[in-house]
Amino acid sequence: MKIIVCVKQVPDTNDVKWSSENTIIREGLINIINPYDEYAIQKALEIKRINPDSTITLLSMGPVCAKEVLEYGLSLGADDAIHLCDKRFSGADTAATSKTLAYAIKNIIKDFDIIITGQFAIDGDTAQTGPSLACRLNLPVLTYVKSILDTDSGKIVAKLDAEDEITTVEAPLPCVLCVLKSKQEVKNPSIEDYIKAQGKQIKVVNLEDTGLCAEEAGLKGSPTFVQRAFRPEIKRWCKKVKYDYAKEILSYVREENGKEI
Amino acid sequence: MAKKSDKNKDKDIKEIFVFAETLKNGEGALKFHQVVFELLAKAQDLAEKYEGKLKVAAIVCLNEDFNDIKNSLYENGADKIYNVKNEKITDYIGVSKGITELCKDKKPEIFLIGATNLGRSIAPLIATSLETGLTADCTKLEITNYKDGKKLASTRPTFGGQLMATILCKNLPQMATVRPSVLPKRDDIYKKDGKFEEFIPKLEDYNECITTISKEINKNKLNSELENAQIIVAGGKGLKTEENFNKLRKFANKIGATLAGSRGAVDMGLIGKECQIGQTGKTVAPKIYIAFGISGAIHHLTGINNAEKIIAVNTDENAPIIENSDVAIIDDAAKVLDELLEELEKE
Repeated sequence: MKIIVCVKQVPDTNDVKWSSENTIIREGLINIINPYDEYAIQKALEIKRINPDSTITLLSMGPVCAKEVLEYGLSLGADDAIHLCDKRFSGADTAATSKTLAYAIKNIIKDFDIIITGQFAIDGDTAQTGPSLACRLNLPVLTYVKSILDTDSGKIVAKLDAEDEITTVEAPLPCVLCVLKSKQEVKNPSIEDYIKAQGKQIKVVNLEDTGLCAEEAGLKGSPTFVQRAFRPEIKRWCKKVKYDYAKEILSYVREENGKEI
Repeated sequence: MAKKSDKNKDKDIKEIFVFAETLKNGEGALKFHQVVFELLAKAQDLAEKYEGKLKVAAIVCLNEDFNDIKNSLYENGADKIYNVKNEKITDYIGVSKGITELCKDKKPEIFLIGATNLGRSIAPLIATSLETGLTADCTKLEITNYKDGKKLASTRPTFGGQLMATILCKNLPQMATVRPSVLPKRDDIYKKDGKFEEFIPKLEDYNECITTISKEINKNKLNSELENAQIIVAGGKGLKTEENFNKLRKFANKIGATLAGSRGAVDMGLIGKECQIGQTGKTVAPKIYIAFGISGAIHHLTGINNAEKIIAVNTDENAPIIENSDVAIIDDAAKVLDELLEELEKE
């Protein structure tokens, strides 16, 4: 089984600091692997555990520092990695990103059975790149994948979270999976894992290598563009209650419930 | 520029499409997802402001009869309904291919889709097939002047909700998804009846490929309940233990509120993922949102932005939830819950 896992480096948006001019202070911002992509690697490793002759290739588009997430993924147990690194890729929206990934997969990786992506990325949270990639490769896509049950005999069986229902579905391979969190915790790699990963290859690829033309990549190739960016306003009163907490809370609840309780 | 089809006699009428997702209620009866009505109301509002006024079309994709609920689409803002119908369609890839064909034929200006799991799965497939742009999870949709014409301006939280971005799309249709409960539905009736057209896509390059083997009800089926809840009580990591979370559950039951949790609480296993509020969970718009021991990471705040009143209980005065609340109580969440339960016992 040949598995491709798409990963993205994202800023840790939990801890963003603002300057007095209302801009995000980028210094000190930590970059991490998108957590859902880590679950994607985990799902790939689960498949490999059952089919030990499987290979896992990581694919990431991003600036030079995105190499860090590929190194991390290799230390988790992926076999090799491709880094799409070119200034002309930058500023891409999901449409241009999926096109770039699709070209890299078609022209560089060529042969594969499953592509796994995280369902969302925590920075943009569009959930679009995975399905869009599948569409460009003309492959079936399973979204909101909770667990993979079987990958034998040219088919995949997986459980999907369809909101009100959990569905078990079957799709032919090759296929794209957009995955949610696994039940198991992600195991942190050990120092030995990192040392082992150093022997693995990260292939750096530019625009020409993908076969894409410059007009189709990055900002130029993106059908959407940002007109304006601004900080969300806070418009709450923030009244601090000093005593009789319970009575205060219940007074609002009663007002809403029409004194039913 | 889009070429006009001569065959289409309504060729000069431009349209806003709204995807009309259907669900089955508890008794197995068909209904439209609430987000459809919210989007139709917004689409009418946008249509008024667009040059040459657009018509609003609801896009249904059903093989079965839906006559009983058809009028609810007109009542909520649709001028027209297109039903994309083909027996071959059995999965969401089929739905997206059928709707893509409709778009190629009718060339809508704008296409709005609810950011449900289904909507978020088909929207990128349709956008990619049409080589157009798609803006996900918008919290505000407006019409803006751009160069010589008008464009849809879609505003959404980005950077984990730290930053708002207003996004425009170069191509047509200009596509956007919006989560349920973000936009209000109209409180009057738009019209009782309207046009109806059946569209049969050819689906030449589609073979049904995803087969459903089995279905089970999501046992914590709280999605729609949360999205419609009037009062929500939510717990976070600050509640620390299962015992405290049970107190929260008891309090929610007593006051008739719906229970929810932050990502922290979900990660600690105190509550299921279905009940998670925030950017990677649910967006809610209750009258009252009471947060117990939730610090209010920006991801969480994004999900509760539309709550009418936010009451926050937290030991940390500097927790972000405090300045984002209407009523703040600086104390231990478990202790305040004890007081609340005691107060309710008295009655």
